[in-house]
Amino acid sequence: MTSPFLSSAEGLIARKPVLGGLVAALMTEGQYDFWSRELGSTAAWRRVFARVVAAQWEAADTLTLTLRPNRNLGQVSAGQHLTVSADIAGRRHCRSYSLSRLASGRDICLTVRREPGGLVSNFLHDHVQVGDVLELSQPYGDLATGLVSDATRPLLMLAAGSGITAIYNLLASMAASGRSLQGELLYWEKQPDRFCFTEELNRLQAEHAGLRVSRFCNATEGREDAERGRLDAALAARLAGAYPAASIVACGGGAFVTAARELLGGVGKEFRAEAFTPSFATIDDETDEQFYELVLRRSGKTLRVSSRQSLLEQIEDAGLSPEHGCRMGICNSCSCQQRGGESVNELSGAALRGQGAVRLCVSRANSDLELDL
Amino acid sequence: MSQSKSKSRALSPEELAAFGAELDALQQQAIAAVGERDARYIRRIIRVQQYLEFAGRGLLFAGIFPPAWLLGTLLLGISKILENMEIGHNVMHGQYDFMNDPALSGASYEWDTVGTSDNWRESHNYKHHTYTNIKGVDDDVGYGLLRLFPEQRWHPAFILQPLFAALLALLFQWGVAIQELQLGKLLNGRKSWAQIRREFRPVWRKSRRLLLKDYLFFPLLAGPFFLTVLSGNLVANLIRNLWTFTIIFCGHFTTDAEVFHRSVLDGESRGHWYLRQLRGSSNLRGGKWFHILSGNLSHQIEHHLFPTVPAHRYQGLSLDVQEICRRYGQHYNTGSLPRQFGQVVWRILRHSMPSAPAPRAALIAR
Repeated sequence: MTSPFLSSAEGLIARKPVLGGLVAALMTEGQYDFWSRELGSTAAWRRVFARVVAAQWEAADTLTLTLRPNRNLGQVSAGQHLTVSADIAGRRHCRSYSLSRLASGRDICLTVRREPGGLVSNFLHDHVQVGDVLELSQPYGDLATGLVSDATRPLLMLAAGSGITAIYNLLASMAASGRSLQGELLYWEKQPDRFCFTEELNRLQAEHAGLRVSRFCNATEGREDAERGRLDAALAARLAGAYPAASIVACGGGAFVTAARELLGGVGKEFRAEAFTPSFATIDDETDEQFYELVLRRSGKTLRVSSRQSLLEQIEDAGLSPEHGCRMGICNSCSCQQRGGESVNELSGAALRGQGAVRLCVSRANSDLELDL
Repeated sequence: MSQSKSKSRALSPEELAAFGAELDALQQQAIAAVGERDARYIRRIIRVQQYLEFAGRGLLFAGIFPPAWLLGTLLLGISKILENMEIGHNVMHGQYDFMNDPALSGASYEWDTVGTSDNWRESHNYKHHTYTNIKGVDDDVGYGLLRLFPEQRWHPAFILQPLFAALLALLFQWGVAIQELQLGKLLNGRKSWAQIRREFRPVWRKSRRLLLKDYLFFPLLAGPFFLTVLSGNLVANLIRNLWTFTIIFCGHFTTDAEVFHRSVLDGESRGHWYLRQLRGSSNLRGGKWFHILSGNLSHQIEHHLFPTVPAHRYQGLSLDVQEICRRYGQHYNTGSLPRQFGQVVWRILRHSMPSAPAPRAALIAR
């Protein structure tokens, strides 16, 4: 089982063999981390801790945190995400956020929109202050693979709501690397006061003659620089005509990404999408609900699970707390061994029969199941 | 109706089911309440333990001055006890898994004693807690070394068992370290040397690291005071060995602790399992720090009933458990440390000689 917490570099020992060896001989990882925090440092044996060095408002209910990670954070690349852990009422909760602004040096920026009822987003908004320390996972995600290197192809980027964070990060990194941006960014927000990175995106448009930024807002009180309209067949046809050879990237909620895939999946040279909410909630309505027996081998428990809900949720409902991260099938924290039975990955639609790794958060039971958990 | 020496009465199947349901409800209530208070508690204990260790090791560097040596050794011993019992043992039971802190994860915590956590999770968390006090299944019944119950077969070698017990007390962490190897199986040919060698490898890796730490690296750091640091570390480890031996033996080998036959496992119900946990365990009375330093295993009964509930809650739960025991006519085995330890010593001495078991106490009334 790989975990973003444990997959970090060898840390101190690898870099400082003599000192690291001595420290390892005298204390445990837990002790090293304890004393480091006690002395006000974010250094750790291999876990990634980061100090909040700045917080700035991006738009209504949207906050950008600049974080200074310790040396255990691996190389981050554009379009990636990190899992942020926060201790709330004694429990550590993890949520994924995309890299957003470019920060100087090794600092990173994450942009967090307050979600109604969202535990971690509300905590980050209400309780985290400059100087506080948060735990991060290693970065993950490959939204940008291939995009940055192939500079000749125009880009067609579609962002809805918080999806703009990853998209803005991609655009800003490409611009920073000296690439001349070609193509169009289409950016939807439900409310006019929620548009992020307005100045920055306008500046990019001004500096790159080939780049067009289109904002969409369908609220009654609109915004001057925003059009009305949804991602529909007419808009898709316009885009297909204008950018026949584009690389398409879509980022937003599950429903938005599903729509983008349907309308634009066959258009252009490549299509990449990332949803920050899983989209199978809607698919479930089409399938009859079935109940199966789930055997958890290590905990010695047997649960009755529904075919409509993710395995992770149902295992958590049973009072267990399996390791997890993004809850949308990208970070692999919740991956565990399936020993028997059949599960279905709702993101890919792929069925897994018998043995194999199963991502609990985006998988559901398709027969009686046995997991190594 | 057989004569039994048990102070508890046998329960009818209906009573047993109700007894189990009441304890289940108590456990669920306790687990539902777990949260911020428990997180704060364990973090505070860890802080105390780390500072005690720092102070203890620091004072030992000045150990050429006798009061510093004494205090340093004592503080280091206490810190080792805290890490072993209130932190290591309880964290490995998964009591703090709810926090989702990788440093306090029951499945991966590695405690600071020579025994590997993986072996402990197998021999203690799994075998001992599932098959508590079942002769031939729970290896903690005498640890394959001592005859503590008349139900165990006598052999002339047991005449020397007071000596074995004293050695086990002094070297307790080493006893725990090799427990899962079950060296006794070598004698009757149920294990090969190759198998032992393979299983010993992780134990050796772990113990070598701790031996080097206490008896070479820290003493070396002290330069000319090598021996004062080494001796302080040695005595601190001895203190911990004696203390953990005492607490653990008082938890299961007092006069009224019962041992069970394998057959109890046949179709054992939840209530029956609880009953076995209750009758196989015994508590110790004491003050707040006594409970903390015993990892709250002074509430061995509550620990056995609810092993995944954060241990600092046992004291509160014990009132409810006692009340339930009264209603169901079950003996709640508790006493002061001297009293319970006296009973343990008596068991060790008595059963080194041939002894005949009393008729087995029935758990379920027919």
